[in-house]
Amino acid sequence: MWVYILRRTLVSIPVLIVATMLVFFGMSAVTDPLSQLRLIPEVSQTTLQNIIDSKHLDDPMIVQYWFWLQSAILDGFGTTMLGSKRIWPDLSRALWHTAQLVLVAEALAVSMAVVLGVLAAKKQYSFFDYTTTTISFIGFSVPIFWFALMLQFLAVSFFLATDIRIFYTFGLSSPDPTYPLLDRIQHMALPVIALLYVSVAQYSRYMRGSMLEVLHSDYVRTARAKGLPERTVTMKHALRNALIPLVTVTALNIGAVLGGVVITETIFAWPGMGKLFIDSLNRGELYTLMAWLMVTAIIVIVFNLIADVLYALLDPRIRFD
Amino acid sequence: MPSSIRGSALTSRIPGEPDQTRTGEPEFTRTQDEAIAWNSTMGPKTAPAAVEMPDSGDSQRLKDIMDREGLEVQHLTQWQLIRRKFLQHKLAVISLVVLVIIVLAAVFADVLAPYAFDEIDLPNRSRAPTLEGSHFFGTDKLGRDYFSRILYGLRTSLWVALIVSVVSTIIGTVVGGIAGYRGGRIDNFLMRVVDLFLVLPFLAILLILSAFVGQGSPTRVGFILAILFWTGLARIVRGVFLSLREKEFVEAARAAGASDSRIIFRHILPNAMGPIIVAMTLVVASAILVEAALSFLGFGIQPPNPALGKLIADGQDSLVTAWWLVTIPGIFIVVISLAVNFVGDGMRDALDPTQVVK
Amino acid sequence: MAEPVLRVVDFKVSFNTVDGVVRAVDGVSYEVYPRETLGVVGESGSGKSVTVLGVMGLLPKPAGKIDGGEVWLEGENILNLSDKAMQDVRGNKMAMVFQDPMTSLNPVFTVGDQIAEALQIHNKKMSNADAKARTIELLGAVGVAQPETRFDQYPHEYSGGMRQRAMIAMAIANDPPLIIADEPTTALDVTIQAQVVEVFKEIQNRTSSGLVLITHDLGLIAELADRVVVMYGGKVVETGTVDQIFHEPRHPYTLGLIMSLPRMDQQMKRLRPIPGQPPSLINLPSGCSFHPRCSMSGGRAMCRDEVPTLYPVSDDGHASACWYHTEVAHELEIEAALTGIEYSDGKLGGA
Repeated sequence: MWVYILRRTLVSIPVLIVATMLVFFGMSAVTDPLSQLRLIPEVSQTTLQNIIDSKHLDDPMIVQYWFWLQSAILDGFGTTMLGSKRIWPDLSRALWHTAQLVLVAEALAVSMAVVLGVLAAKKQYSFFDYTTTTISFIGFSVPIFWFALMLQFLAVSFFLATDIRIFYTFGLSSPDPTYPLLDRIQHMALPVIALLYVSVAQYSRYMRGSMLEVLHSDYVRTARAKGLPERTVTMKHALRNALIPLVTVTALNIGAVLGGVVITETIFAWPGMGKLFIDSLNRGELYTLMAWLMVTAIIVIVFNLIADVLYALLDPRIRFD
Repeated sequence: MPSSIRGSALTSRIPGEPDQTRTGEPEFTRTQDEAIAWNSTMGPKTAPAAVEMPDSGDSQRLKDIMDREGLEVQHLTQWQLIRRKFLQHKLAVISLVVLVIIVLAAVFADVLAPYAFDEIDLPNRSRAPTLEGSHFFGTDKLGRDYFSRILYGLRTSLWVALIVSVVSTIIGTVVGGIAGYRGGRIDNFLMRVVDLFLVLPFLAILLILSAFVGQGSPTRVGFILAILFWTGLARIVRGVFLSLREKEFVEAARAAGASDSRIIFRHILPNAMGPIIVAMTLVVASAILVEAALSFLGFGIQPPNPALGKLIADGQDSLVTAWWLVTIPGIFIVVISLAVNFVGDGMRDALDPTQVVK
Repeated sequence: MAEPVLRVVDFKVSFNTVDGVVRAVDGVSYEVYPRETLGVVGESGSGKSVTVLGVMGLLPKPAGKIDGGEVWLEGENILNLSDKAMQDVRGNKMAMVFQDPMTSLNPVFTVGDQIAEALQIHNKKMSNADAKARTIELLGAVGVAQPETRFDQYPHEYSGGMRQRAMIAMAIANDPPLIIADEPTTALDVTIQAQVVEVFKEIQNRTSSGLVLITHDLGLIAELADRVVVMYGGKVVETGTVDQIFHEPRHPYTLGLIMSLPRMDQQMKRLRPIPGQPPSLINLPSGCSFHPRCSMSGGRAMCRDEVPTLYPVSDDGHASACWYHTEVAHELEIEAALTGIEYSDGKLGGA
């Protein structure tokens, strides 16, 4: 198994390089990172020239990319283009903040989806089933930013009406909280709900479909024929098989979740990867953006790898070859 | 934006899902005789039944069998069958009607809008929805009529969705078809390219592209989106072509001497149309959501063209005081997306040849 | 004669489908005695499998429904049992071997674990070690080589014949008085089929269980069965010993089945297949379900209008559900002449 992981990792490296190279070239070609600076009359020609030299902006793109790659691996992505601020500390902090949201949201989404999916499959065609199906369909159709705004709307309206603050709608935490953990949870709750709504809709549909397929399989019939109680049949024989595709879907979904994070963090002013991305984009900070892409690409690749490994662990028919 | 990834990020290991196109093989094994057995009754005492059969070259032989068994036959073409099956899905039909109404409203926005979408009317700003002065959806901070703005916004969003679906379907079908049919090295190479697209988060790349290249007109935004959406379609089409390629009827055609292009266009493509159309509807649904997100964040469609996402973004600050600014465009997005999803679901069932017409 | 292990009385099962109510089993009665093998023969759709699924309580819900009748297992009416009580019976007093062993075994658990599970669920005190030991014994008994290693392997690591043996081991684990085998060889290659037949013969010799063997393969019946029940359109049309069914059929359908078998040991002039298709179970023909395809009916009113019941044809349990079964007896000679099979003394010769 380790050989497989090693091999996959090695194969991913060229993909990573090519992808980031393409983006680097693309962005360098269409932007002038110093355009903002050039507009400020106080900035002298010498300063500009210094920047150009130190960042090798006059060299061919491939050379620039090489320098960037070096600084990425050796120097924590180096410094930003304009402000000469170190990239890595900000990036890692943003990463940690985002991780809080994403990990909680996905864990909740998967647990809820498994419960909902199993129940819906067992009670197929019941009122419960139709209700959850409808809610799922709506879940696919609601734009995440609108949903987030509606959540904010509800929270603020509630506060205005009752003067009790259950959830906070902006930021990471309050200035001087009495109970830091509770305060953080209150700030996290709404963004997590926004992130998890669409995921739950999708995952529970998968779980339901997968569970239905498994419940009608021959081996479940054999389990019943052996005289196993229905509960054992569902939870042991059926569930284990039904979970396998869900595991893969969840791990592969990480790219989409990161997209949702961009939007959610902007709306809730959560200082994570999403906000960092939008800010850098608006300022044309090429290096930060590249660093961001590199890190997220690595995350996506790692999750894909986890998906494959988990799948092989759960399904004995798949072995690494 | 999980919904925009659905088609692209999934491998063929995932089991078929009600709102997801399978990458597995469609079944085309039902013969005429089996269809007779399913639909007919036997015995002289029972009344003859009308059997609906897809029209085919064996109609004469079929007619003879039917006459012998004392049954009447109504011949339906393939498309009539599909249409009939679709009409049985009430939800899909309702959704289709709703969609048509919305599309017509958007197309005829010039006629329907009581005001121009940029007509500023400061004394009347931030009014709640009312029947006065035909401000059905109220006015925004600058007094512009919201109903008109939303109508034009619908037009923009739908136009973008149309471009995205058509362009990405064409690119995706071509690439996926070649990859699936040829297999081997070409397949590998093309799939590596698709993987490249997948490694980087969808929305992030989209934003970068729009920021630097694609802002402005709806058409431009549409093309930018299409550049990213085709990967999902390519995967699906590739899967379909791969499985169809191995089917017996392709072998038979090849044995009869058919050329590659004849096989592709005459045999494989018609059978692949089903999953392709369904995938296309899903792309439309996703495109609407993604475009809204783009314009919400300030990228994508730029003023003066109103876009639903931008409308919501502008209404953000007055979220609590002027709730209609955010709520109403959002409701429209949800309704359109839901409707497209239902229609797609209905189409999937209608295009499935193994489902028997009742 | 001893008491029957299984007694099915006027059993009725139907399915609710979008096209209507399918009367899959329409008043079926038969018995199985200890140490005997009852073969149940019929085409697809005859109701032979649905009957035993109903007996086991494994009908697909919510579509499948038992509409009537009684099922007596060792003198107890199991249709009245609660779900929990049925769970105690299944796998313990009656066990089933299914048709496709690849899909019938859970792919994510080892074969050994699945068999041990069958043991431990009905013997709560059995330890894991004992269950493992007994499982290995069982695997050996059904002819799986190297059972100690095979215990820890997964179904996909077994060959088709081995999987079916494992299924059989699972079925006999708790020594049930009734074993049901539903098309046990249909999904297997011909050479493997022979091996599995041997396993069944071993079981017949070693245990005192009654075996219900469901199949459409008359060759299998000839090898394994003692008595035979022929089903058509959800009903029993003939029942008798293997000898009676093969050599003295008394129902046109049975006759048609026997006649449609090509014989290797005789020079045949032609084959006589039964024309037409099995009936739709939603709209069964009136009267005798077989009459539209029956070459002997001639459109007679009795066949068309009245549903025949099982008439005893002899003193020793041979019964037929045909109004004109006496004519079938005479028909034997004609059929033999047409196809070139031997005929002597009122019996069809050969296989």
